[in-house]
Amino acid sequence: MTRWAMVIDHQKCVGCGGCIIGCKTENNTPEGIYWSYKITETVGTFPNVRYHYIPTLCNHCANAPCVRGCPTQALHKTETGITMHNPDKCIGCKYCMFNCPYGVIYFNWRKPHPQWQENETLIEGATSTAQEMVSQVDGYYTPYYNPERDSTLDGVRPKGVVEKCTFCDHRLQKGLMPACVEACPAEARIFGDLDNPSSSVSRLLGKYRSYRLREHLGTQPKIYYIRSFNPGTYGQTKGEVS
Amino acid sequence: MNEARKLYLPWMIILLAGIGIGLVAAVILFVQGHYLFNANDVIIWTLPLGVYVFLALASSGMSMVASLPLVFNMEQYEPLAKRTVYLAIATLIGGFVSLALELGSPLHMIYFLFSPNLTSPIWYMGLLYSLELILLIVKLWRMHTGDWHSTLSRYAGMASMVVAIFAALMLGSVFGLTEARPTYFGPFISVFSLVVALLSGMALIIFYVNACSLVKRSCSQLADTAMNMLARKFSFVIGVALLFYFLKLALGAGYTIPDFATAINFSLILFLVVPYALMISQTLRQTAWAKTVASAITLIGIFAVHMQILIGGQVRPVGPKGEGLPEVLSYFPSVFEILVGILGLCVMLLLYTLGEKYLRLDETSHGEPRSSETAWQST
Repeated sequence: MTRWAMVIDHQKCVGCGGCIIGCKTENNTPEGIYWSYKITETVGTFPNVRYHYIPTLCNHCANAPCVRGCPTQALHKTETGITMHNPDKCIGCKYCMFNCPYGVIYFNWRKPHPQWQENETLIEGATSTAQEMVSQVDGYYTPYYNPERDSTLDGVRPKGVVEKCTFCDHRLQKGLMPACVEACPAEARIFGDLDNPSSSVSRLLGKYRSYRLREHLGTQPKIYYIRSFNPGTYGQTKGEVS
Repeated sequence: MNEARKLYLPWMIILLAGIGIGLVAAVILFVQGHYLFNANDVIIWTLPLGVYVFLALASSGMSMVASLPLVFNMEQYEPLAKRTVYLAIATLIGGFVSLALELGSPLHMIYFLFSPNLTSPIWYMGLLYSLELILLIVKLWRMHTGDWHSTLSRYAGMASMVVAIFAALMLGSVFGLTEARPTYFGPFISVFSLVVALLSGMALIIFYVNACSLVKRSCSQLADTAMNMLARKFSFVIGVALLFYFLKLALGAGYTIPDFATAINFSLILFLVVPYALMISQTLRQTAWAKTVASAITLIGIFAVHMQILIGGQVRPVGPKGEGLPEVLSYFPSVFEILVGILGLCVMLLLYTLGEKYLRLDETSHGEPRSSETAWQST
């Protein structure tokens, strides 16, 4: 049985946000909704400061609180361990958002991509309206709409339902990597099957000590983080007492 | 009675106006989207859900109060029974209205039946409250047809009491089973919900009967006695709720987890202390004004406590949702949220008013009691 998982290598991640953009383009997510995102932290006091960047996405927990709590099974687990969402069954109660310890489920508070529904021109007779641009390229909602997304899930999710990362299940079905993995220029996101001992993820998890977000909650996340980027050095010291 | 007649029309106009404005707001909400609420991906559940929690728990509480005569054979409470059952129905319907407008896609509710998730506390809560509504309607129907003590009527009474208790517990579990949010997690909130349900149910029936007799001036002597006895139990339940609320605050204050710092507000305890002080005195407890003031303050206080618990547990962003946001967010309801709350309340009050007019709510198992005025004249 396949169990999909992802390893994120902090040492390789440069914090470029390519994964975020790749995901948004692939999955047609509207403004304000991020299936793939980040947590940034600044620690220390100037000049001794450090910036941390933690890429985030749905953890596809084996013991997912969102799946357990969803009243209509709109959120459900697939055989390969992906936490999937069915917008047709979603009543928009938002309990999954309330229940998710990772803050990676978003609600469509309004009709998606409202800026592309506008019918006003910037310069009369010279520029197209947003709606015209969409229709000129045979787009759907946006001029850059990706129809591939539509094969396993609504290409654009309607208002009043939640949405989240699906590990790009539509790409996996075609033997392709998730879009965020493909988009990462530093190959900091490594994807594969946890049940295959020779997969890249299994090898990396055997080689490096990993951590998972809020592991103590018992959710069994499938996103593992390894290593740490730190180019700095410091002079050898035992510290001081005065 | 003349006073009641004079007030009836303006009262109905106010209620219908509230419902009309609320319905317009609901249509706009479903056309435009829930961004019209001051909710966001951090503060997810807001005022309409607070109104639902308040009304649903109050309805459960009233079901429990109604069980005193109907399940436990305390006949002295019979003059309140039919009215209490009816108020529980109206209150729950008001709560459902508010909840339906909180949902993003209420038309998908059909999947509650066709795709149930038996591990979901929300599913059980929905099931139990739907059952409660059905059982209350059955009970009211039996009482209205004069059948108070048949097997069916008794079983409906018992079942509605049990379902009301579990519904209140399950509503608490919706919050208590969220590992992600430490201020809610654990069994305490379920037990607290049950206590608050009984308290708000009692407060609502006491407030309503007092307000009603003020307007109609037709409260029976029997109902007066029942109210005084209920007020005594009310004082006891306020004491228990006070203890539980204090315990909740004390536990919260003892934790080192930062989330608890935003979920504690000791000032709200006053809303329980004042009614407790009023109801603990036997002399004051017998007066209508003390009962009215105590129940009104309790209702305001319980609603404030619900909102404080609801919002206090959500103001800290979780994970990446904190990007670019302050550590703690603030919240104030939008006009649309207030209108949704008003719609729920007006639906409830309209049902109250119509029931009061057409359903002979003073009835007992021995028929309609004499009003206090009539009783006074005959002596």
